[in-house]
Amino acid sequence: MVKLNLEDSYHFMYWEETKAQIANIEAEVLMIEEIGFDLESIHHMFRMAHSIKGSAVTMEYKALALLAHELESLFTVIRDGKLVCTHEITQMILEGVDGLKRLLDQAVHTGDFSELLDDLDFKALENRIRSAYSKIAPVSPSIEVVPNYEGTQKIHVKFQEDLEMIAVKVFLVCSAVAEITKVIAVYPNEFETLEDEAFKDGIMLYVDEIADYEAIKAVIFTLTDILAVNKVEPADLSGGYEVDESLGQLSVSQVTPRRDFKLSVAMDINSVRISNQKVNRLINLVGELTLDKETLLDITRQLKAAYRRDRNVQRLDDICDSIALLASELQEITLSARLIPLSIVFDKLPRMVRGIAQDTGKKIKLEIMGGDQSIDRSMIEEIADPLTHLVRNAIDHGIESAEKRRALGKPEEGKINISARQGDSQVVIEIADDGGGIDISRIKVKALTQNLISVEEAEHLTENDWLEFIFKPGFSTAAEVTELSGRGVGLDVVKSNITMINGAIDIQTIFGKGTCFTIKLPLTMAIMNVLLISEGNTIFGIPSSQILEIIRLNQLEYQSICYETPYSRMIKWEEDMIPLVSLEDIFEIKSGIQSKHRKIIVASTVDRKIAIEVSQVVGEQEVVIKSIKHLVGANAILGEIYEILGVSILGNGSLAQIIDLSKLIRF
Amino acid sequence: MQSGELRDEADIEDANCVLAFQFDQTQFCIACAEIAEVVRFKDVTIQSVPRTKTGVLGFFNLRGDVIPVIDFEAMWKTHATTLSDQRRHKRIVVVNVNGIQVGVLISGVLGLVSVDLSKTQPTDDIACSALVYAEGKYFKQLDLAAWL
Repeated sequence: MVKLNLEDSYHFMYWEETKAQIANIEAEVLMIEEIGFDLESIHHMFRMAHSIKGSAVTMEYKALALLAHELESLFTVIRDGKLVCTHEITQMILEGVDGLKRLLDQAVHTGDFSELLDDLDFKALENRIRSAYSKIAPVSPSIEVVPNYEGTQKIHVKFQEDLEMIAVKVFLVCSAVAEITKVIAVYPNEFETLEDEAFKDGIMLYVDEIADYEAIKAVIFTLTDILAVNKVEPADLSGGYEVDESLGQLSVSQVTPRRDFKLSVAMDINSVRISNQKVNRLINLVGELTLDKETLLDITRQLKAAYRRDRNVQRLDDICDSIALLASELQEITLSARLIPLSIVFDKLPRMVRGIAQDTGKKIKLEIMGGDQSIDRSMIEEIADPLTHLVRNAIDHGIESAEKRRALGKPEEGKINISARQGDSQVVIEIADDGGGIDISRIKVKALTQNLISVEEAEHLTENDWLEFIFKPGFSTAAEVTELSGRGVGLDVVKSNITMINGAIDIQTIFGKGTCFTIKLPLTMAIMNVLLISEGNTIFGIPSSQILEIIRLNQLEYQSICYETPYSRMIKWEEDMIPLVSLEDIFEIKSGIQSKHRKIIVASTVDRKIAIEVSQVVGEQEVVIKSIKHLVGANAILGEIYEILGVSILGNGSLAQIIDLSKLIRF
Repeated sequence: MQSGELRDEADIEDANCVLAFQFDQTQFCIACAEIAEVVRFKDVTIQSVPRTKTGVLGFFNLRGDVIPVIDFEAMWKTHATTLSDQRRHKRIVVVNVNGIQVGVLISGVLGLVSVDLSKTQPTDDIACSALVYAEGKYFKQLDLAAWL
């Protein structure tokens, strides 16, 4: 079987679609559990299972198709009111959903299902589903007879001998023909049973008389393993249904119509799928366009100054204004194409919460808001793990058991609120629970016994400083290690994941009342406003969003707030002492500029503030950042210049190196 | 071969074709298949990057792409080129190595030559992939993937 290659656009489309369809089923099941039975949900699940099966067949993933088929059958009996959708059934559907997920994962990893198929649990699941529906509905598909075969033409398709999984091929043939004309019927029609024997003599297709046979023949031959395609003349039909020697007797009554052979692809008609690379290319192009626009505007300004009365210059100026508007609108739209709604991640949480609640015996109410907030595509993958980890933590450690909550006078049902909202050029995600909160005294004891801090140092720490300990590797205050969490691995990973995408995480807690984690993420990493700084021959850029203040100090003022040691410098800014570094030192540049005033930029990184002494501030510009990650590293071309996030092309065509502030200081 | 002046964009598709250049009495070459583009050193502005490895000159802007430039001669541990050095016919050969575009600054360009593949010989030089024969001489073909 083919291993799914996600680089391949067709495979990727299949993968993404199936994943979405599986998620859809899951969401519907949870909905039924939450608000009760809904026929519309069953219809929806049925459609999804059907599509999963259809596309799995095209991909020749038999195992996936079979499981989807079982689910589809199950949905059919529920839909027809023959089976009541009990908790047991929804549980079974969810297990089926998990099975589909595992199969799909397997398709990505190895493309080989044999291991899974030998899995006893897996077989048991299929059997359970089958017995659930077959008990009620003995497998007797209602045979619909096409009342009138007049006006059809018959096409006989024969396959290569030794072809395996002919059913798949039949499906493909039907799908292919359905692209051209409606397939009225096909014989044999039980191809969903996936028995090869039934097709040994080929298949007979019934299509509209007026359909173009040659075109149909051509499209069938685009598939592999086709031995022959023949048109069976109507004369033969009248001759007592004796169709073809090889086919034997074929009576019309046996033919069951297939109404819809189109691979029903669950695709929103109002949207198109587009590959990541294409979007990135678009963004790059728009970036270049923006640069050219800047240059054009500059030239026009100069022309206007020189030839004030020239009519053509006037026209040029008008058209430039219009281009500027168009370019900025284009930029906005293109950038938004990279944004993906957070619901992609949020939608997975209810299922997880349900599972953990069941395992821990706790009652949880999960509320999610703001799933429509969007963040950059590259970040969505990075945020999923931290988010699930935090939610898991909240249930496992945060929310108390029902008895304890009752004793405390809290409602038995614990609450977890997840919300996303747009902040100042960033998205803020909050994960709040109304559980026990974090006991800071426990952190203190733990930190001191683990010798993470000395007693003297401990005296100066604020509550917030203490809370920071929970983000340290190996630190856990959980009284007992549970299966889910408490091993002290986790929050440090959560934090580093978020830091990696230029985000920040914060925690507030009230002992006994609950905990709230706040994650802040930049909207996009592709375009930024940067402050340009010149050091020697080099132009650097610092992301404007991170800059708190630019200070100009004369020597006297400098001495009053700066504390120097042989190894480091600190300055006092507002109430904080923050480390001061200079770009000259870090990048080993001699700018040679002597000035009466020192220019210091105070900026905030993810977790700390930093002051940077610079030689000259040149200006501010919106830039597209081209990552140089692939060039940086001990063995890479450029060596270890981790301080540089990327390079941007400025309006005049020159290059600026964008600094990653979080890498300027390594503690 | 004697033309000295490089035909910038011609014949680059030719599979047997290499860009030959001379350095320190040795003839080197880069396979044309690996070359994306050749630009004149004096035509581009190179932005230096501080604190990089020896031999890394900096970046330049190639129609919107940011390309790092490496000085071949400095890598060979002799004199490094300074950014203002425009005396000789220096060229930046933009090569595509494993999907990454890198500019290699060379001088002493001899031109494009056609290789006689039947006479290709192995070499001990770790920076070179083979000795290729063309126009009566052997050229050391740079193994860019290993070298960069």
